[in-house]
Amino acid sequence: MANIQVKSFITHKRGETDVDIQDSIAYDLESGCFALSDGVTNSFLPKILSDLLTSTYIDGKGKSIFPPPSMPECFMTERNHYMDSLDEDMRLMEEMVEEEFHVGAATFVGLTMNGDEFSWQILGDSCLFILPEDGRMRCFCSMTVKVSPQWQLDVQFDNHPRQIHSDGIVVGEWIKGKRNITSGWAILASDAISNWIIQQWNEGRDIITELWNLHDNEFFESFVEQEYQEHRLKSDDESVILIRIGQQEEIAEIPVVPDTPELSEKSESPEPSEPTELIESPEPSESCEPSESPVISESLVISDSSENSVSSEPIIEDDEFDYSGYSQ
Amino acid sequence: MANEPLFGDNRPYRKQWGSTHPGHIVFLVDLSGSMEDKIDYVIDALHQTCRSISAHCKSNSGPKNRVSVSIYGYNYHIVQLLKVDAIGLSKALLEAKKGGRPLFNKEEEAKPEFQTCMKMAFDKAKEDVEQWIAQQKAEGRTEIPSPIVINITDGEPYEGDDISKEEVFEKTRQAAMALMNVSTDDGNVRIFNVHHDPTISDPSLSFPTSQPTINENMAFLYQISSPMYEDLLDSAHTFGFTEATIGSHCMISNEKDVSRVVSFIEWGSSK
Repeated sequence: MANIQVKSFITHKRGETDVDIQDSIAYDLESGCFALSDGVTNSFLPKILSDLLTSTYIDGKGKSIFPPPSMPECFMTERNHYMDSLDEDMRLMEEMVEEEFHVGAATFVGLTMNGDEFSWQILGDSCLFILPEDGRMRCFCSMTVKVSPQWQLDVQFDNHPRQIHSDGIVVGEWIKGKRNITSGWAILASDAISNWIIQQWNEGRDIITELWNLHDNEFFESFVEQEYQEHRLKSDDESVILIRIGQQEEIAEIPVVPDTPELSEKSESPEPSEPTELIESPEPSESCEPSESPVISESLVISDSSENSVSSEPIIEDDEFDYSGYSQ
Repeated sequence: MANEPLFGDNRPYRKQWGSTHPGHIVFLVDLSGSMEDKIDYVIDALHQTCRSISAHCKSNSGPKNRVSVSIYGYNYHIVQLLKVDAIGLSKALLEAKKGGRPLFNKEEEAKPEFQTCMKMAFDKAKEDVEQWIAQQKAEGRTEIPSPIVINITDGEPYEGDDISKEEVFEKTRQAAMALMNVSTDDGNVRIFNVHHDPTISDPSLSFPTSQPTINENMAFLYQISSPMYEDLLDSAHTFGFTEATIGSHCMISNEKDVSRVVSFIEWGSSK
């Protein structure tokens, strides 16, 4: 299994606060699952849906059917629980929003690591970036991705909805793929910061190092504000998971990141546990209880040393880039 | 000149509406006597649009002031129907919901009567947006999204029997131009016009790219309607106005289909 280090950051729209964040990020180093969901502002209870999506993906360990058939029922359970907690005025306001939008909606990026193989499923304008050791950034999302001969990315962030709805309807088609990676980067990012990554990367800016060197979520918040003030980044919820993939000796060169950023309220540090073998779940998860999403962001090496003897020639099969719209 | 970008980069209307930089929409509603058979669905459309705006301003912690809304009715005088921020809008909608009534009462404050004195409506809108911009500056905002004004009418401007039609058109046009010339660093105020008359025999026209010659009222509306910019083009297509193109003027005239009137109002306030 590849050695990885992970950092993640999340912040709110400009002028708003942490409680207004509608993105959700979660990962479980033990099972090698990473998930990011961007709750659609113009929908009903998007935060409940985005949390539900990331937690069920992590619970399924990348092996279960996703989203599970029970998701609409789970959403309604959470919806009823939330509505019951409101006073009359707030409940009526929420009912007006429900009458307006009918359903919650969210985008999704899920990434599962199994040995050196990374597999993903994506819906919407949240993106997965993969930067192998060849230095050529790949971008996977539901939009059309074009790559110039100079390997610059061009992604059209249009307004066509590609979302998972809280009633189980999937608008658009899942983008799925897999790839062996033994060193490099995988980055999950919500739409605005994905757009920023593409633009800045194309201009030659080493944004991965910049993000990776951010000390904690407070530094990320300051970083986002500065980019916004400089008109490089749109005001939106900004969430990103950075996964550094490399050999043990490479990992050792990376400075240890001391602090863990605060994430959503559901994120709690997991109890340390021994790596466990992945077992394919025959049935999708039926639980409506969100899992305690593990956190995140200290430098961690999750493989044992016996698996470090990976070939120096990594398996990279570009024909595994099986998403529509890709061109070069 | 109205609608010319003020930025060096020629990219007006890029400022997002949000809590940091709230947007502002002004609705001007013709309350002349001829609107009597149309006022029900105009009120419904405004109510639905306000619900949509309010829903878009909802966050996990309650309504956010991402936009403010002014609604003025006009006939021989101006009636302020609503002037609220997003939180005030949520409260107004809540009161209406509790009372089982629409936002406005067609027998009282929104009663159609008298003539279509459109010039004073544009004058009022100018006063409103100037006041709003001053308020944004007073609150320390340096980047202020350009306001949008949506005028809903079924007729032609009128200023009195002793003034010629040509003179009325010109005076009203000048008032609309003065409104369009109000600007922020995001661009000039934009005016979108919806003219609805199911009885008229002339053909309907929407988002024209050149001044129409069908009748003088259409030509007038074209002159006082702002051109389409890219910020609202995709949503225009989503709302069914596939004929809209960059530079086409944001108006519909002689529209007979009520659903398109409603869609236009919702589109115009969807930024």
